[in-house]
Amino acid sequence: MTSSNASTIVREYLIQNDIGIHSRPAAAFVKVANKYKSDVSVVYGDKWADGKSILGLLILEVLTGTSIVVEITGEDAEAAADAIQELIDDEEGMFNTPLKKG
Amino acid sequence: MKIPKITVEEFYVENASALGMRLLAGSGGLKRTIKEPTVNRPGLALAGFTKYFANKRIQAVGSAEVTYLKSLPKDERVARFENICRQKVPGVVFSRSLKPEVEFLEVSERMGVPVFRSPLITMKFINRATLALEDLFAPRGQEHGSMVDILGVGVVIKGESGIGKSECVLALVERGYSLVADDITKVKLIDGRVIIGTSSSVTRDHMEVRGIGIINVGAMFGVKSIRLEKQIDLVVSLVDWDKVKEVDRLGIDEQTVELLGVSVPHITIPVRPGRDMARLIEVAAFQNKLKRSGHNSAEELNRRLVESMSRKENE
Repeated sequence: MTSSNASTIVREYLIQNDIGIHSRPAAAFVKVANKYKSDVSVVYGDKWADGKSILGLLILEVLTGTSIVVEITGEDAEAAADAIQELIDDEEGMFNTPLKKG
Repeated sequence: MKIPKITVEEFYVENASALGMRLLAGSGGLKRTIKEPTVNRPGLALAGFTKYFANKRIQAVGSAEVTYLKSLPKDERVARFENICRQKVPGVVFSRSLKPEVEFLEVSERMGVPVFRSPLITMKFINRATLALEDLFAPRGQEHGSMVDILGVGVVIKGESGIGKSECVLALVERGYSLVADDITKVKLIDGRVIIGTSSSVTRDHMEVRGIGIINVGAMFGVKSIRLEKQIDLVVSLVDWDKVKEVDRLGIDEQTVELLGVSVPHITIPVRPGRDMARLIEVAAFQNKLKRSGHNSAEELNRRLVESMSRKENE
């Protein structure tokens, strides 16, 4: 048997914060992704980014009201997917903090 | 924070040459304490009004006071002078090289109130003495950390022993920056807002490098590699990679640390073999300089991004 516990999970997440994935949400996402060993890739339309790279996420320019598809590969993929879900659902969290105007 | 007790002797010893002060009489009172970091002109008190008298301060007698005293009969002016000495003043300075009368000096000896003379004009004496006193009265402390001046940015480098502070400092000195203090940085608060870092006078210009021993940085790298004191603009903590709980990946939100009650920008740099710590500290210093001149890289990037995103949203 080879790498029996490495699995790939593909999940879609709807982004519903004020603008979309700008710096703070990206930093929050990367912080969570980096807690896991699994590879995290984020697909948005025809663009792709490493979910552990802030600048990578930024250039996707993910708008609010749209969805990202996240592919997670590795032994802790399941846990990582749940953690990302939790992050995006946490209305009070850093991912959903509205951008300061001014 | 308790207010330090400064004796007239300390003030005199520290500033005798800068203020041109010479002790004329009353050396028995050198242990008197100065309780307020400024200077008073005792005109009103000499005129007889002592109900409200700033007697906790050094008294500066200038031409105005001396000319006024001269207008009085001798017995009277000696009595007036004795009267202010009786108010527990820490000391009296005659500026402009004005010569106190012999009787004044007798009073000073008898009552143990030090009398000095300075060649400075009264205004200059008051200005310089006030600055000198503020410095003496400044709250002080010490920080465990080395300090380097990186092109005008005073950086205190902290971290557990063995994390590589000295190596960092050495690498920064080799790059042309100046050592302020190694291992222990003495700090003082000036004017309630500026923190000045310096080294202890004993270890000044020296550092200890594990495996080599004590080195004299000034002798080894030249005078440009050392600096007596510098305002502290940034504190950098070097922390073992595995012990870092959370690192600010963006640097939008400024972290601070309190030194003598003043907030100073603070960053944490995770240490891992292979990371060039000196280079990172150098960049952190430049980043601090940019921020102070109004550029916040993280915010600027975010603004550009948000603009681009809102254009897309409106399409």
